[in-house]
Amino acid sequence: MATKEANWATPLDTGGEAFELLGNARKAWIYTYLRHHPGATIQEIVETLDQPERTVYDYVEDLEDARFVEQSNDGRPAEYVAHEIELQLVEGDAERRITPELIEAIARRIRDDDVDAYIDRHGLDGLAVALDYAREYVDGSVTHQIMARERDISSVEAGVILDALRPVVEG
Amino acid sequence: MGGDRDVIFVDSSVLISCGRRESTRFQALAREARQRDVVFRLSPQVYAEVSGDPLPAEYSSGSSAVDEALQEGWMKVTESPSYSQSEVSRVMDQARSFIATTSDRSEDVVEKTDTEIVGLALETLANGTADRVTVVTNDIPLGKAAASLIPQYGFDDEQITWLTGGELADELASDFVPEFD
Repeated sequence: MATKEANWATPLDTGGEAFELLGNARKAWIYTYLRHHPGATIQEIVETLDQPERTVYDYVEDLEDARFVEQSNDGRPAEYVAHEIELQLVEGDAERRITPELIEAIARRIRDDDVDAYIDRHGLDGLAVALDYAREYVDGSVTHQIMARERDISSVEAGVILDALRPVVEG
Repeated sequence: MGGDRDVIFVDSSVLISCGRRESTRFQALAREARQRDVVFRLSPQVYAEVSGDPLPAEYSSGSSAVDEALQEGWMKVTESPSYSQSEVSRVMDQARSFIATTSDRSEDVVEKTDTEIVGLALETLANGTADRVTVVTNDIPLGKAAASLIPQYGFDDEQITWLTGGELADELASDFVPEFD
């Protein structure tokens, strides 16, 4: 399927409440930050993300409710860790995996204009597909030209998104 | 001036990566050209790809950086490989097949853009215009194709080198979103 423009009717974009964080890059960012910095506190997140404390509290609570993160200590201040999630979402013929890498890719739209532009044009589903190509690209089993032809996008756009997603899949 | 003894072809995958981060990555590329005292070569297809592809308005354009480099003289666009030369067209066919096999795809999805650089690398060595050729690409199947096919035409392994952008210059490998790590 050629996705020239974002198709927001695709599985990841209509995934329901549990996947609401996928549409909220700041929640995705908090999850990603905790994954890379297990045991971080709200205050650390506030400082790094530069968001109001109230907002961060709310977002962490949402993430806890969705079982994406949990408190890892009994004391104060509370410390949090991220779960290694792996969710399979099937809608019709389309199957999508929600992984920590996908959440990190979504989080990157805050800081990376190329990821942001790609999601605007191709939706979260398009991003998940691009992430699959990025894995193949880093493994050395695909070129940016091949992705361009198979996804019917310009080769520059393919090159741009593969390059932007490379650090996500290289971990 | 005699022939360049070292010739470096840069693929679009690297230029796209640099063009996106004009201020730092492209400068790193320019510095590398100066330090090596070489003019980076682009195949006509590579140039067409980075300058002519319609890039959606959502992305800031990186193509002007390549045109600036051409004006500054540290990059130049080469002629197309001479397809009439049987070795050149043969190595390009082999590269197409190599990339298709590596990617587990049919050969139809591998077009001239992917293979032209391998043809140019062989032609440059065969003509004696260079002793050594380096292909700089982030596309691993393409780099592997160049490094493994060209020695089959009577050249030594050290006469053909494949580098990724990051291996050419460290800055080209760096991740500019460190907050996530």
